[in-house]
Amino acid sequence: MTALPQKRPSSRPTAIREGGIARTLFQAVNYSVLFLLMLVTLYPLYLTVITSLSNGMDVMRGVVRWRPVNATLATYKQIFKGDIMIYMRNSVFYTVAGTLVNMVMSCLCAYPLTRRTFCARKLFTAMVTVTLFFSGGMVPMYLTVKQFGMMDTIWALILPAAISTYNMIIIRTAFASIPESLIESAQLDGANDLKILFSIVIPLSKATLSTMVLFYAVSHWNSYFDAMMYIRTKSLYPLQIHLRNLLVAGVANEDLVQATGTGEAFAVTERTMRSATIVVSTLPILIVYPFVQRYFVTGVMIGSVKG
Amino acid sequence: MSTVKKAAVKRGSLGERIVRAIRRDKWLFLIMLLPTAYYLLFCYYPMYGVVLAFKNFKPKLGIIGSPWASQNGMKYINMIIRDQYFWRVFFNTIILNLLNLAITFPAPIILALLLNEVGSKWYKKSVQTITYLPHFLSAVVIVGMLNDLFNSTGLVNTLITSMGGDKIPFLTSAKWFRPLYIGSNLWQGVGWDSIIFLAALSSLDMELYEAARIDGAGRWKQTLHITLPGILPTIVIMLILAMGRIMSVSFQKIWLMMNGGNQQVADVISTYVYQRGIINSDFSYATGVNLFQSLVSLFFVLITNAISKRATETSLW
Amino acid sequence: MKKALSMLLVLCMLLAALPTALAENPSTWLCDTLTEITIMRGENAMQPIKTDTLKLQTIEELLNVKLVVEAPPAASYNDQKSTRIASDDMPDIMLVSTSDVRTYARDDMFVNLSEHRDELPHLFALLDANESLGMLTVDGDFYSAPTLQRDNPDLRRSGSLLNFRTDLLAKYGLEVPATFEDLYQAMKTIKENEPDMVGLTCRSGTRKFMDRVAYPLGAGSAMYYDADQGGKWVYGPASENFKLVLEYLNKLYSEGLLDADYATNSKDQWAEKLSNGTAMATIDNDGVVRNYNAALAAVDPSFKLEVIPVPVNALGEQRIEFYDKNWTDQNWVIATSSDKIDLCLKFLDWCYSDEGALTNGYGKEGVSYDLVDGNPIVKPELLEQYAANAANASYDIQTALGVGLNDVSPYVDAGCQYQMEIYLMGDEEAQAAYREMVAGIATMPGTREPVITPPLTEEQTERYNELLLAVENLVYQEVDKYITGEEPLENYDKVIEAAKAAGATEMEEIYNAAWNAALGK
Repeated sequence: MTALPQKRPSSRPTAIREGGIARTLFQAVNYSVLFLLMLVTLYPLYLTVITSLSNGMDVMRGVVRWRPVNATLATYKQIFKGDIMIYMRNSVFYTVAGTLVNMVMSCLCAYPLTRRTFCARKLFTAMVTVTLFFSGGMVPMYLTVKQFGMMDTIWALILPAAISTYNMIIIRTAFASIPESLIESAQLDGANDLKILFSIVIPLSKATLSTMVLFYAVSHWNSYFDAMMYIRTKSLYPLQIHLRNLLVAGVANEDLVQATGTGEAFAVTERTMRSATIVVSTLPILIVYPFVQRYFVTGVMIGSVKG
Repeated sequence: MSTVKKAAVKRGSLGERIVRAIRRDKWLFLIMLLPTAYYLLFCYYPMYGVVLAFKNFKPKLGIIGSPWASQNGMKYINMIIRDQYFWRVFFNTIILNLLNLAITFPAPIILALLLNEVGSKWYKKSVQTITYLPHFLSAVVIVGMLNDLFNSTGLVNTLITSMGGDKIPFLTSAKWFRPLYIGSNLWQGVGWDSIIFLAALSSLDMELYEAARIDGAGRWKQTLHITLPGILPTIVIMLILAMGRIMSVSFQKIWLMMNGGNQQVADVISTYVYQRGIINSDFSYATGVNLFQSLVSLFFVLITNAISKRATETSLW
Repeated sequence: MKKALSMLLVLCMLLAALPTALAENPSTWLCDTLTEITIMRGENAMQPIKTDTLKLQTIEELLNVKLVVEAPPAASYNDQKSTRIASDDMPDIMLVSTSDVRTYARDDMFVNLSEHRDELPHLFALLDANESLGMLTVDGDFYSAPTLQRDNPDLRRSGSLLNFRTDLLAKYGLEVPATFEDLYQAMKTIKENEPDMVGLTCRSGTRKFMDRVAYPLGAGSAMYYDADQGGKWVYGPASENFKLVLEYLNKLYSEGLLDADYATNSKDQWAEKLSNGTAMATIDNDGVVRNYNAALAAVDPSFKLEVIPVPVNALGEQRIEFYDKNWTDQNWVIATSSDKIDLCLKFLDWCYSDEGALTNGYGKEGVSYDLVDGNPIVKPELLEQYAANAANASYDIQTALGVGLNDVSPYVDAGCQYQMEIYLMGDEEAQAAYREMVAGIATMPGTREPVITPPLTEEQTERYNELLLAVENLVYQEVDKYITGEEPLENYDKVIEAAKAAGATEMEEIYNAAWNAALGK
């Protein structure tokens, strides 16, 4: 509350008057609560990072608590062995292409559902809503993908997931909050609905749409199930299939009859592998996030994003 | 139908009116073309699969070609309804999810509001960036952390004993299962879930606040009368959508947390179906359970939607 | 003269043609034109399956067959496998579990191998030699070829054996415990001297713990074959002997000799306790446990975890189960929907021949291994090359060659892995000590071979599965109460009653009936 008026004095002429002891106290508590929240969130994540950088044997002994012990990159070397760059490239491609399709399709679907004058609005709303609850299941979906000839192609990863009805409904809510008068006046100017959608509605919903880009992109980035089902050629695998395999390797090996049992060096264990996997799969999102965050970090205090 | 539409579509036979309506809304139909194709091809077409619940499935014969199950096709449905253990996991699922919703639904809204009060831009950004990160941890990692913290020699029990208390068997007690499950969900999801509300907050109209300030409204009143009503549609829609997931619980986390001590409250539909599935790949049974889950969540959504339509004029349809 | 010349010419032509004719169609080829066979199995993360391995090249040269291996991650193999079976969209050959075989064989999904007995001489020679494999049949016929282990001089047996910190015994002047009572006394003595130590520890929850301890203590954790009670199938937790298990574990628990977190220990926590020296004992995979010695040595070089002889239980029995020598839950099936069933049969049978086993286990003779007195020996320069990259040498060499259990090897000769591991031990003294230990475990008194569950009919399967879930849910919500002492042992009779009423007795009947039927009694 104190920093703000200096930064944007023009927008907050009355801010100083709002002050007072209660306000200062509230802000003190607020900052502390959020600080605490950061702390409890940060430590386990920090632990994940230092675990991934430590010697597996020391992690196992439970001595890695505050800093990496016998720091090594062996775990990362193990992960980056082989074709990981191909998988990484595939994942980036699937995420970008998939998210693009998602956003276009979701916007196309959401807009007519907000038009109160649309004669078939109820019909389409019902059509969409039913899919929230009912689905065919794994086997019919597999047969469908096969029947449409999409098996082992990128289409199998993009088309069956072209719209997430949940996300589409959130977009619809954002579209619906745009004043009717804006759209009506555009219609009077002779603009058709496609033009209204792209020149008025979408630009006015930037904050929500950027969030949806994030949601869609993250779900593509993290998804492995579709790829596992529909992709057979290894050179088309996304990163997550590879990482997931590494991640659960230890669990799958639990009762492997031929456990080595020869006391080989423990530089890399399933635990360090798990940690490194989390780091590797989260890092790209961490890098992209600030660009998306730009659109909604500026809340009401600083000024709304308009147009 | 709405009055707007009545005015637009003048008198005429039904056919004429339809043609006129389609001509008038041709752009909207055009826009809807691709999404409709998507829903028909990838959502409705595979839905024939639900008949599996009533079939004695033989892969060679396909889903449609398989013979109907005994008892007029109701064999698996009857099996589910008569199974006492199924009803226990059914109510476990609902109770766990309702409690979970009661805690983890408001929390991100509160976090978003608190963040909104933070003036310092970099502080706000850091809090946001850090709190959304746990979203990306897998259930294996979360449960591993719970185990480390709450076992008999873990941090929490060490603290309790150092203050003279008795050790609590957190991990194996039925009483503590729900708090641990919900608490860790909260920790993991609060930051990520607040993103959507922050986005809603950022599109609120500044002028309303200016007007309120001129009227002498304090921060608390502004929050109450402008901020909350402003993001209410988002809150309501998110709530209704959350109700739609009332029957689904992430399988993996519960599976990892469950043990003999807490199974009576921890066993939920997904873990039960998995147990059945692991013994015998029983597609008909699983499809029957899914159908059942769908109907129950539909019921919950209808109720929530009706209430919200009355109270806030926001609804899913 | 002319005649002779022409004859010479013909002879020359014949001679010239001979080698090309041989090269075109060697007798080892399974088909005239190069044909692809698609095989699916899960991929172990430690050993990725590559498409350009020496083994695949060798198979192509020898058999004129090109293997296309589809290898989804092992972690999600089950989902993909069941979807593809259910969609009737299977590869030519795939790896499935015994329960898959029993579920789908009757639906005509897999080729009935018994009908092709004559075309599968190598496979059936092995199946016929091991009577217990008969349990894998469905209605009397084999629909699958189990993964079998070929004898090997370095063959290592392992199981959930009793691993103990033997240095502690020496330190406190204790004998190696001969009975479970001795074990309790020994741990008690150690605990008196080192109160912070955890006694017996375990991982992955009560259910898995019971799988490992119930049998040695005189009962079983689920349906098990009890040879000591006249040879019949018994549902362990509903038997009187199960009380002995609970009594013993309760005794340990109440004196702090059983890990207080036994019901919830994750694998990580278990590993931590073993490798930082806080745990005295565990009953678990000896191969995995042995690995922790490296970490233990870093704490104190004198610490040593090792397998100790099977203790005698309260009933006077000495028993512990080895892991199966074969992998009877990993079955190779041929899809009835395949358009080259004959070739698949030929290929599968070849895999069970010596040539097949050596190719799948070592690669190519003269290139990656040599036969010395009939024994396959991996080329020393290869061992040297991979040992230089120590972390996962035994997996890495198998990855590169495309051999071993984790690749397509229905008849496994694991010599490549063993030889690599032994090479890594370093000097000859260490290697000899290791060989002695392996031999000691293989001949340890009280170790038993596991028994394969009997094949059930369709109705039996359905009924059994339904009962099993009800009974398991009932029993395993009670077990912990008796171990921790929350409930007194005499109340367990009620649990036995309830379990029997819920179906434990019927389950035993189903199993014993199926068992006797399979044995032809």
